[in-house]
Amino acid sequence: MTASVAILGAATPATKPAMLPLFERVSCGFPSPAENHSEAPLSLDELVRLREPSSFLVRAEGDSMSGVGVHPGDILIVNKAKEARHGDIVIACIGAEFLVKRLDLQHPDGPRLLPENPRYQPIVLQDGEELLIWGVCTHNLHSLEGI
Amino acid sequence: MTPSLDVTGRTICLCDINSAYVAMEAVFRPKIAQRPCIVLSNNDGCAIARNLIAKRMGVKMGQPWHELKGLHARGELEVFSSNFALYHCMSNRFNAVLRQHSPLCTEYSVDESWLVPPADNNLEPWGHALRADVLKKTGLPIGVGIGVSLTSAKLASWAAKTWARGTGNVVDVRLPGRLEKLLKLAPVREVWGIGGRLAARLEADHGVRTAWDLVCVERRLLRRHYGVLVESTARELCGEWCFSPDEGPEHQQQIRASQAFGRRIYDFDTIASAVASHVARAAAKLRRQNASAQSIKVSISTSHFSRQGEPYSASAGTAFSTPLSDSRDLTQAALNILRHIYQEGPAYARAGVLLGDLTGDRYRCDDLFAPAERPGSRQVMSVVDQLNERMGRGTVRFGRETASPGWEMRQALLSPRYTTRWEDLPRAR
Repeated sequence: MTASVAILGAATPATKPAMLPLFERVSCGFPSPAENHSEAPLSLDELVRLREPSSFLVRAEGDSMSGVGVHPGDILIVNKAKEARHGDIVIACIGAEFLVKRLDLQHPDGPRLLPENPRYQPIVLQDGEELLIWGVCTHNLHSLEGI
Repeated sequence: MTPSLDVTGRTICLCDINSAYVAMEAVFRPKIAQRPCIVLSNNDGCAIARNLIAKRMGVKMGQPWHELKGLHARGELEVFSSNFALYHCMSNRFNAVLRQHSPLCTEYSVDESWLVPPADNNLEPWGHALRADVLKKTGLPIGVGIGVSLTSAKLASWAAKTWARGTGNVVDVRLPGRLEKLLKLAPVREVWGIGGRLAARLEADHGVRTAWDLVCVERRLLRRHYGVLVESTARELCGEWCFSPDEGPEHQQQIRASQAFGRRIYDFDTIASAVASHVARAAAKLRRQNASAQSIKVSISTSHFSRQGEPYSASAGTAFSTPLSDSRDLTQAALNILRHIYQEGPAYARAGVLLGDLTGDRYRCDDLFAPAERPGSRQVMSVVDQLNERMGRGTVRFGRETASPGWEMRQALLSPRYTTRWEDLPRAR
């Protein structure tokens, strides 16, 4: 067992080939006055709190929410922990289906899900149906390319 | 002997996800929480997770999938192939929430974590708040067991699950009278590290039925007849720390890795690559619990269910002079065995590897005359394990394991990878 060689298999090269950083950090001149003021680059993850354990992404389908700028294919950032209040844009679950709608808690007939497009009707719970609010949409990521 | 219970020592908490894999699927399909539902093993072999409703329906752990197909076809049972990408991600979220409640958190398995709770004589309110927070943020229901050693916390979490309604899934054994009551109620086979076989021996030899009976047996006797681990287990149940979260209880005396092939296999090389990948998986698990194996066994067999061809099954093993944990040594040993038991002709359906006689590295004693461990073995293996953990299983492989083996998983009922693939995001209309 001594002095044996084991082949680990082909290695995939890293994205950057290993090189000596000849020109990075030339420290013989005057030190950069900016060095002590470096800051982390801005992060979208941080802005929308994507790394929170309660954040989930949901893809929007259909145009029932076009009035608030949610279009088919958009990516919604959903906070599962947030308590849904009247007027929030929520991911709701009726039956087996996920819906994105505005939550209406002030209608006399009970809670309703409102579309943001005049071509659609508000959704009222039928007898025996259960409404589950899965999460509250906090942001929408909409691509402006190819519009 | 009358045991003395001490609940004043260091406190530890075990959080575990109830029916974890089913619960993780149910986050994205809330309806299945109210229906009987199971998750199948790799390759859709058998049931490895069941929700309570499926349990009550009589679905057994490990029940073969082909026995359940009828129920599924009639729409009476929800079934998923195992979606490990999803489970891994949900497990990370579970742990992230736990860490918000206590920075001292050690992941023990995909659905269990140890947590050092704040100092308080009654931690049940804290446990209920923790449970509610995990549920709110991740959608996962958990149980919380608070104990005065790992083994007592583990038993507390068993009680939290068993008496879910009465306890609200939270049990603190330190409340007055609680530990004694729990020990008297818990069958000894439910104690961590006491498997069914050991439980039967304990009952036959000493009439031990409950955890309480176990702690009443003379310690010296336990040690002599069943070894130091069982003795430590009894001490732990009384509130004495013998195990640590990083080390695990070192109870497991063997690690098994086996899998049915997606199709029938005839040639040696394909079986060898399956065996090598089983060894890699088992060895990673071995190292995770800081243990080494003193023996290995390899088995291959044709299908139990098909009537085509001659049935054939064979297994053989070998013992090592020095306990081993290096994947390379273990693979070499496994392939040597495979060469002995492999026969040309049969349509092989399954291969398995069993690492046995595990010893914790802490208790390890080397053989003066045995060959020395490979130099740098620990470092190499630790790099391999870290890479595979971080970047997915199979990132670093050994020569024998192939990237796309001819025996990969059958996953007919796989759910989308909701949280790790752009194309698989849940959709809302």
